[in-house]
Amino acid sequence: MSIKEFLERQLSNMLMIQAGVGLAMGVLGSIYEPEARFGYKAFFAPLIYAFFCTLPGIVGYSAKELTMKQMLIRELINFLLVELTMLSLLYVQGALKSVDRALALAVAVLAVYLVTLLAGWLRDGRVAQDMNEQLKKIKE
Amino acid sequence: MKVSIRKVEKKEQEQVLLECVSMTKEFEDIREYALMKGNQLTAYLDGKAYQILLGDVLYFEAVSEHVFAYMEEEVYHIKKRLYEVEQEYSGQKFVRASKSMVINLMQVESFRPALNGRFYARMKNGEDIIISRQYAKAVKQKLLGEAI
Repeated sequence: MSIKEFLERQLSNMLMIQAGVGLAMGVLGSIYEPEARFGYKAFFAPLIYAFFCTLPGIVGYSAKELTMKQMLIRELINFLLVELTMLSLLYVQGALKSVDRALALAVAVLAVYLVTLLAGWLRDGRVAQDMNEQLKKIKE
Repeated sequence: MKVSIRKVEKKEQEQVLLECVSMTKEFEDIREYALMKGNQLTAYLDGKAYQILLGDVLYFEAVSEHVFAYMEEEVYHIKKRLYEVEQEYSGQKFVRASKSMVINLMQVESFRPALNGRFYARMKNGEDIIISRQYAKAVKQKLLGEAI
């Protein structure tokens, strides 16, 4: 994978993470702090979180072709780093007020991560479908 | 018999043109030889040379400086580099799938997504070949170009 392709994918992931973080903030906020009020700065929070969550994605880059096992290991490391990054950011901001809230946030990070993976999978699924249709045509 | 050679720009333009008053045995032999050369390649198995049909090759794989042609039953060694295989047989629906593999699109059953922009090509023998992200775009373009 070229560095350009890698960065394009990271940017696409960042936008999806941003949307996911916004949704997670809305859901968890309405559960744990429904009375909380925010200023305009809150609009930047998903973008900032998404940016920091995209940085560990560098572990997925390799100029060489990776085997599926290597890819899965890097994906797991990436996920653990994202969890660590997010929980550290939330800890610094004082958002980890209890164990159950920390767990809920960790689960929310996992959910956003899985949604990002699923979105990529669905996008590739459409490409595979196109390829299958074209394959059928050339065989005819 | 006169023999002329005319240079062309592209591999796809290469052809053998026979001009004859009537199709004699000699011309028929030349025709068959030319047809055979385009669709067959010399491959080696246990030190013996064989002519194998290109269309029967599932994929070519490079393993430490050697290139192998994988058929349904046998695996032959061929005396070409992988980039030569890719260039020479691109007109016959062969396409690079990864740094070490060139697959025959006509022997692909279907494609499905793998992880992170990679794809699996399910071959007719049931084997799954990984199409790396680097070459996925080229495979798609090749399919689109062939299908038009």
